[in-house]
Amino acid sequence: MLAVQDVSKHFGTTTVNDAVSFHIEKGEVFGLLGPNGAGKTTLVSQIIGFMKPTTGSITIDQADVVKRPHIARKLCTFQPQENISLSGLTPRQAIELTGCMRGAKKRDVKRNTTRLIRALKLEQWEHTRAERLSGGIRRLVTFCMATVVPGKLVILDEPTNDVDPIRRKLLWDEVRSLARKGVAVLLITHNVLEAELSVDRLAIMHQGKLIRIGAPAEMKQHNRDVMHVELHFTKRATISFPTEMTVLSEKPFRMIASFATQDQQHVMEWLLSLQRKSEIEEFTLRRGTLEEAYACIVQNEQKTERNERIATR
Amino acid sequence: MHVSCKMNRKQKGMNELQLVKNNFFYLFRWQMLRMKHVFPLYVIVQTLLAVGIVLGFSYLIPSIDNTATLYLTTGAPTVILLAIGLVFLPQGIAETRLDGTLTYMLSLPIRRLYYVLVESVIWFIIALPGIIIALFVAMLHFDIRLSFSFISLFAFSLVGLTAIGIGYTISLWLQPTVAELISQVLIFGILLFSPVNFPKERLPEWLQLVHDILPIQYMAEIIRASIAEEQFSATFSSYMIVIIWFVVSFILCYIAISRRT
Repeated sequence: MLAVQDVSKHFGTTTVNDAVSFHIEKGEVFGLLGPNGAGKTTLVSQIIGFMKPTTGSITIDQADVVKRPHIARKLCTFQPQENISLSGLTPRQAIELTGCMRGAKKRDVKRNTTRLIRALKLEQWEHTRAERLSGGIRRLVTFCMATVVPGKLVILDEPTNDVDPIRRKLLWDEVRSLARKGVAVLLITHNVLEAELSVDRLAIMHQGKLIRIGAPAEMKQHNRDVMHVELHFTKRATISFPTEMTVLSEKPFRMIASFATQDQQHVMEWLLSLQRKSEIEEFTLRRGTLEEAYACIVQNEQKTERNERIATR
Repeated sequence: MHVSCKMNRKQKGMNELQLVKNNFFYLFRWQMLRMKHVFPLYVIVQTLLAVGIVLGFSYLIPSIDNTATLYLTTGAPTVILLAIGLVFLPQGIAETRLDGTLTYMLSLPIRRLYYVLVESVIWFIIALPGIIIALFVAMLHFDIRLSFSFISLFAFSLVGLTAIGIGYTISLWLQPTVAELISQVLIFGILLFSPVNFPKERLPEWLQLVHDILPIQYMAEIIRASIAEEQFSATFSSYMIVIIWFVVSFILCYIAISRRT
């Protein structure tokens, strides 16, 4: 559905996107992760036709949207990162008018609006003026505006920001339901935990480059040789860790550390000895999460870049 | 075959027309709903400004004669239309650019020229009551006669749309904060340093030369001539200069709204 091929975007001497290539299939939810300033928003701006790539091609449903950007606006619907101003409008008016402006029949738009409002439990606010709504509800309204008459490609930029946990789940259910109907979804997020549950594949972007693409499970394989241990204390404790362990997080009653799988026997013995001495309440051993894998991939990339810079000096 | 092809083309044309109508209508409805709470306020402010120009300036001039009252009265519509296009509209656009609303609206599959047209129609509607009331007040207060015809409607529409086109162009080509600042300064330029409420000869020579290029004096001239035809006249070249400004501003506006970075 979406094919991005070797897209680079330069602003003067600054490279914001560097030979980015990926594709999204019909009915696929594709996550784009990356730290602030990685170039995600610039990439989206090129897909929806606000910016022109310096080089490379972008096609949506085989239509060249670099040459004909107005096609992108017909084929894509978009939820921007910032909440747009809907002052004066009620959620129902905003959603219905957006649907009508996308060219759908009024009757279908009304029916879809009612369904979305019910699905996301927004009934009590449907006739409230937008300026009186909380940030989370406004976020959900812009989500509905992007999905009431969905394009073949739906782009969601941080859709769950400020949204409460119950409605977050409802929103993800809607995203999955869109994909089941054959819509391709491009999801831009910082929330790795949510991405893990909702996306089919994801890509990690760093300094304008796509540094990794794959299914969440494949990403987690990145640190398959690393184990994590979570230690819980009942009292404040000072523990000296064996040299093969790296402390990742240190809080008064909880610590997280990582170690190489090959050292697990030694680490286990150390943990059991701590427990016998009642220095720890309990411990949990687990493989790394996607969030940790993501952090690890980005850190490794930064380390490689630093080393390369030093080598060139 | 030939007939069915013709029918298809006709059907396609009808669908396209329906889409154009729908897009314009829904966009108009969207903007009107967004502005509905400030709409009456804008109309009141415009009316006060228009009446204020006519009456306020007459207090400023101690012994006001017939020519001066006529200048003030027939200048008021031009000032209001310029204020709408160059001051109020750019401030509104700067706001929508800063909060991301304009970008979002431009991501919808609507022809971009419609945004400009819808805004133009709305702001023209806002300006109209103030102008009519101000002219009516002036006719009663100064006991002067004004005439209205289709030429007046044409002149008002042309001047209004040109001012809106220029305002839109300024708003889209400059940074939002810069555009907002310039729009605030422009109101003084229009009121005090433009030959709208007084003859051009009172201005310093260099400013007269500037106004030979700017459309303001020609706008004032065609509006004056359209409502007080016995006392004032407008040359064909005045109409042409305003029309050129209108066309150029809308072209620049369209380029700005369609361009990609």
